[in-house]
Amino acid sequence: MKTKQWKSYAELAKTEEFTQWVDEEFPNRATLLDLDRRDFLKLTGAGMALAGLSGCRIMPQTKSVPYVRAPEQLVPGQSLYYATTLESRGLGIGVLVRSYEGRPVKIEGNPEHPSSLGATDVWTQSELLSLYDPERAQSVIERGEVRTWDQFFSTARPVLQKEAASGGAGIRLVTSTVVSPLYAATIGKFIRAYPNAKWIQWEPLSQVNVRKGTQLAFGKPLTPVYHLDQAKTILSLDADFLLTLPGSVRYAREFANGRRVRADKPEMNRLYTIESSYTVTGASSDHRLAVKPTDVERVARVLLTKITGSGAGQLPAGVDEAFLNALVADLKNGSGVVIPGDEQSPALHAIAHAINAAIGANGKGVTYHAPIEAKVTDQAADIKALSADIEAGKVSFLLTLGGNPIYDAPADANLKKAYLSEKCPLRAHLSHYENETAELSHWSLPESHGLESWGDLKAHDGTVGLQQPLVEPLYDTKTPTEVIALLLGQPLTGMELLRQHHAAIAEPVWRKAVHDGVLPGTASPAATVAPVANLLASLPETPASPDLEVNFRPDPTIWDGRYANNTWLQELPKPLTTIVWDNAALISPKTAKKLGLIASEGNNDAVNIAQYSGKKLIEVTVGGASVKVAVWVQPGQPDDTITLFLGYGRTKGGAVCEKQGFDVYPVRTSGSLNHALGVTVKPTNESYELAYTQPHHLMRSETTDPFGVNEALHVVEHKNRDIVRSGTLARFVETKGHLHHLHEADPERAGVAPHGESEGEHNEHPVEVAKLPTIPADDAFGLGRNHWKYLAAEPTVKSEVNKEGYNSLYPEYSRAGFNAWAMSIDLTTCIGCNACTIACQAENNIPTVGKDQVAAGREMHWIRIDHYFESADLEHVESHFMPIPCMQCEKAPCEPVCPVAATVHSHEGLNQMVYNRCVGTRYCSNNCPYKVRRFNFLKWTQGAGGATTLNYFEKPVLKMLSNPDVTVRGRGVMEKCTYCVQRINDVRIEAKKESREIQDGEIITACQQVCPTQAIVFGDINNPKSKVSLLKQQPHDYALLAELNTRPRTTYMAKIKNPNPALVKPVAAEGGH
Amino acid sequence: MATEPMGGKRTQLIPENFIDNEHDYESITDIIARVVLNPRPPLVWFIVTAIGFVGLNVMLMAITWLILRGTGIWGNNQPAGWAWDIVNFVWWIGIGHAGTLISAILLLMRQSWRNSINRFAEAMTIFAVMCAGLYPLLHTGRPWCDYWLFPYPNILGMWPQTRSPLEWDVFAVSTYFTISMLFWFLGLVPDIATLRDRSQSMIAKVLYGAAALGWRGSAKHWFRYEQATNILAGISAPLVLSVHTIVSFDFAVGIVPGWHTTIFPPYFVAGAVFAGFAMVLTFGLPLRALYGLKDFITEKHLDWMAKITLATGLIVFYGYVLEIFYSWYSGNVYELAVVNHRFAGPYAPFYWALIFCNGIWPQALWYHKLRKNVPFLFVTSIIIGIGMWLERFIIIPMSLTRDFLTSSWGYYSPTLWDWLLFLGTMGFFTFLLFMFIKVLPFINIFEMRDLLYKNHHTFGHDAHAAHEEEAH
Repeated sequence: MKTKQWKSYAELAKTEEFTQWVDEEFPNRATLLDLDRRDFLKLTGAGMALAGLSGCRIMPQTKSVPYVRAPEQLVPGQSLYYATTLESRGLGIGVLVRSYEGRPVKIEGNPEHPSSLGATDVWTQSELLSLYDPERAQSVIERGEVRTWDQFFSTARPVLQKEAASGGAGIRLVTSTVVSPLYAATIGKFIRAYPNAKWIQWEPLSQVNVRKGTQLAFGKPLTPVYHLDQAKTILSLDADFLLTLPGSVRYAREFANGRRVRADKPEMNRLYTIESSYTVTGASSDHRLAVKPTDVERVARVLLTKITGSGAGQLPAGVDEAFLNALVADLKNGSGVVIPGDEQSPALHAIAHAINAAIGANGKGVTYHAPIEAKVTDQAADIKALSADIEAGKVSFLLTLGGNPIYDAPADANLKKAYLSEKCPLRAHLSHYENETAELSHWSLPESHGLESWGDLKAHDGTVGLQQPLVEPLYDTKTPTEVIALLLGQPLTGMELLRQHHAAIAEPVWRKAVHDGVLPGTASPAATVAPVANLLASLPETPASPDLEVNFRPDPTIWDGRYANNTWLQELPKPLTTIVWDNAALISPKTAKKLGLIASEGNNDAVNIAQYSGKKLIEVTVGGASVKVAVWVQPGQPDDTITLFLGYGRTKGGAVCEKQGFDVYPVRTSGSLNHALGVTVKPTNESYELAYTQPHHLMRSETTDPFGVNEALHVVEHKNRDIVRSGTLARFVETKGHLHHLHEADPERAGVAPHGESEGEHNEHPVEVAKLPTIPADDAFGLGRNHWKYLAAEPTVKSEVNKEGYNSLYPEYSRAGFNAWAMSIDLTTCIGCNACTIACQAENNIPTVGKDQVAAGREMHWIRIDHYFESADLEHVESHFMPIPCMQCEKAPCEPVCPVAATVHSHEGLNQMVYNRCVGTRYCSNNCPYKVRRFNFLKWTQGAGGATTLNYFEKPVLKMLSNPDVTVRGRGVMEKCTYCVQRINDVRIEAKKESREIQDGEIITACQQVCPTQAIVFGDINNPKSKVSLLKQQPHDYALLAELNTRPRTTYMAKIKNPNPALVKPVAAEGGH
Repeated sequence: MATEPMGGKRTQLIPENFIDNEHDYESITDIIARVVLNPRPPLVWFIVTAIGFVGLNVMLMAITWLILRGTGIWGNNQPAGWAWDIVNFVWWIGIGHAGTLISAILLLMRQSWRNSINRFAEAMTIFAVMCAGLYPLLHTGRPWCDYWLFPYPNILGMWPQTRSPLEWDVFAVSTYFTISMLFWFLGLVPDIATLRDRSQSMIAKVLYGAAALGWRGSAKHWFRYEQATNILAGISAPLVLSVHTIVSFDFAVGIVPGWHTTIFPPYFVAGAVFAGFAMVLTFGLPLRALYGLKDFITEKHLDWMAKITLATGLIVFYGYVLEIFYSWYSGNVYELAVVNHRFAGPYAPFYWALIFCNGIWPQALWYHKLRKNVPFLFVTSIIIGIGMWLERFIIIPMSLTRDFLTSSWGYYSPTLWDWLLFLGTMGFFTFLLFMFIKVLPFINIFEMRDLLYKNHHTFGHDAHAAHEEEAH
């Protein structure tokens, strides 16, 4: 019997009402069923026709192959993290790499690694892009022709065999500084096989002076490691230990740990900086003395005599003795430490170590260890010798592993000339890029990226980090170790080589070490050292320097040029100048005036500078050679000192790096690797526009500011605005942390006189801040500028975020029952290193736009570091850094103005951007007082910013770079910081699966994770115990532009500085105070 | 004649005669219709139309490239999200205002002197709104999604966000365009019928015939016509005020210093009328000379238009002064900065040029001889056009590039494509206007006849006598 399915009696009975109801509810039901024969045939015919039509189009063939055997632990859609070690500026830094279905998509710090402690720097972050860089060297090339590795080895082996007779006398192996035990051991094997072969290490920025310094001080080369956690007084002698010194990520953390001021812990360390260029370390210091490079050494000599109480030295002109006395008193307090900079002379290092010994810092603030490099060599001498050997025809096989000596060797080595002499019959170069050296070599060999390699690398303290590949090599590449092993006839994989080298380690320990990324207990043990007696007498004299000096410094983003093809780093604003895509000659305003670069009369100085800085080339001549460089007049730069950054002006190595900036290596000789004396500077009439992200300098004033007053206005405007709040520690204690409007309210700080200058001579200057009364303030029209703020009615509702007490016409949101995400940023510990900007770029698929587009004001960074100067004049400036992500305002001005509701508020307090809905009116950006929104003016992801930017579509390998959890935005769409909403959702899903609340600290935003000083804290303010809630209760927590009543969820903690009371001059008595 | 107007019921004061020299119904109709029906327009017409046509094509090219490449071909940047796109939008919308004011408000106020200028002023309104409307449509990053701004039913259940002034713009501008279009067309119907009756070519007869909607000039027709006109005028009159008020909300509702001010609505409306009358003069004066229409657009017209220009100019200038006063009175550091930057910032030359164009130069119009001096009025109208453009430039990119955080300050400069689109819309406008002049009577024929009728009845039956009288 035929059965049927039914749901109700009505259906079973099939009443008329029921049929009618069904017809109404499903009006299409009948038509489909009631097809007659003709309609059926018609539809079939039409269907076939359509099928045929669609067949006319050739669909791209894609193959989707399932895993035949699923890799272990892999859950599709879920990321895995692997510990490995990457090279950052020549040293190992431990990282955890996020792998998404087999491809690395984000690099984080490895908390287990001593150089990282969970944070990273801009260079480590950018390694991800370097891996997927479409311009990487991808195949073996012999004089322009693609070859195979076998062809290379079959060319090289006969040469080696021939050389074996002479013990390899004609073989030269050129490497970068080797800090990998495995690599060193492999080279050792090679040297044993060819005992007369020479191994040359060359790196333009080395620690040779550090080793020479300890040699002078202690009689042997050592690695100093600093311990800043407990240091109360830190003196940096030209050491940029927060950004460029090896171990900077760790040092930044330790420095910040001693600097976090809280209401219940009003204490902090004090940093003195004596430096010859303006660095982020100098910007973070409490007292900064800017002097010429040689004067750093002179001051240090006097310092040492003052500390040891023996001898006397002559202070350079303009250096205040009182400053040194205060410094000496502070250093002697039992927990001081002195850090000499890598670029300084060996003598200065020796002096610094002597001071450390004298103040009892040895073993506490600083420990000395065996050198981390496998062999300490005089690199410049070696590379010169190599050049001479080639010229002399002594070299028959030159193998350059990594590095780029043709580009960055000292000018007096004349290496390029030697190469071009063609006296060396076989030159091979292994590199990540087909660079200048590859161009002049017969064979260009592609090198594996760190994320594709097995290996090991030492950290700044000697700890061995293990390197494991996250991905099979994308191209047919090899590591230097593998190449040497193959030359030695050992066809082993990288993994086998590594395991063999560490064969003594038991398998379980090994497995755990690979898992953790660190070989435990491998840090170099501290050596006991005894300073040589009567050091000062044994040191060479500081060279006399009557005129200009030049500083050669690593570029703060592309270093010595090795990162030059990385668009993320190219487009990352350099700290303090915010220049992108270029290097510049930094010169102080006074020196620029002295040299006649800027007019000394007419407009005020600031206007003259604005019309010149970043717009012209100058010619810098050092000992006969000269280079033309764009000029940048930088307040805070010491007088008579020009800082030149290395790494630019590349001629080969990829479209990104070529023709950007200026090559200054031609004026850098082996005798002046770090600074040069006897420099002359000539202005030229050549124009050159630098691109920068922040208008420190007035823009285009020569055409639009005929009255020449705008720059002065700019400064006055900033002064009147409550943007960066800061104050002294003393003031913090006095006001119980309620620092408001530092600029006016802190008489103590306002009276801080610049070192080496008598007070009072700047009073007539338009940017004078010392004279400002609190309320009512003086302004252009003589009325209290703050009075609208004080007229605001007393608040009736005071919420957590409404501390400032402004009322709103709109109803208050209820946050009950949800997480309320918020962020706190500590301006005291922000060092302006930019790591957050680049981490955000990597996490959120943020495109780069190219130099021209940055110059047009279209950079895309979601979190930027604003930089403000504070000063009484243009010479003695203080810097403030302020990271600006989206503030996630509770009363967000961007939201009501969007006509299509593309930006909306989530119940968790996020100001969300719905990319798909955005039509791109840009009204939200106009109405955002913080200007954190970024607009896709062109098709950035299709390379609209120019050939130098990322083009996902023409270069498909770049697609692998993208974080799959974040949409890649098309053109015409607004985008902005989301508090890493994808990470929030990830954690929420996990928490939901486990039926629990999200724990505090469980969600870490990309900027927070990368921050070396932990200045950024993210969390839930509905949880009163969360870290972010506690920070927001700090008295010096404040909201940026609170008077606009936007109720930002991101708030700041005022910047506290700790100047020495002995150096704070009492403020002149003034009416009204 | 069938089209004799019925104006008997009107009781209005006509203090002056607005038609110079001796004219009768026939001659008025002849002179005005001749412009359209003359098979060979003057050479100047060809030249100007050709220039306009080139401009139109430049505009189309600029639009095509914009849609292909993206907003980035313009000079807009991060602080200056809006720049020439919105400057030109507001400028064009403003230009249209005189047309509506003349046709609606002056009609309701029984100002019959408007009769000779209202037709082409209304046409200018429509063409200006067309140019203006292009900008908000094109300024978005994804113009193909612009329809999301309209409330249409969709499966997403998404409606526009009605708190946004841009959404109000959508309604304000589209309503304005629709009503202006209707009003203009309605006013054209009797004249199109005249052209239908007079044209010789078959095609013209058919086309005009269709457009005339069967107008026969019966009393009933006239009665309905008057009713409809008054209703539309009643609807349009508030639009004169509302459109630019709402456009000003785009800024006044924002929190940007230099935008966030309550004076904007009246000040924008006055500015729009100011700019609009200037534009009527800019085009009216050459047309008057070109087609020998001095009898219809008389010196009195010029005088009165100049007076309105002067009056609205004074309101605008008062706005500038008040902006300065309020920024001082508020004591708000950001508002003060806006004034500082206008006075002495990087855009200061533009500000002082604005003060010269809109504040100082128009004061010459206090002098009655200059109000009737055609070359002077023409120059003045151009200067005011520039001044009003500068005003929007000062308000939009200047405020945006100098807002709260000094770190975000920037600078705006236009690119070639900004210029091409702007010049292109000017060409488009000119092209449309000259095509209109060729195809439709740009002075209202029947209203001029009506005016003549009233002149007869006010100044006696003999128009000639009236003129004599006036001449003494």
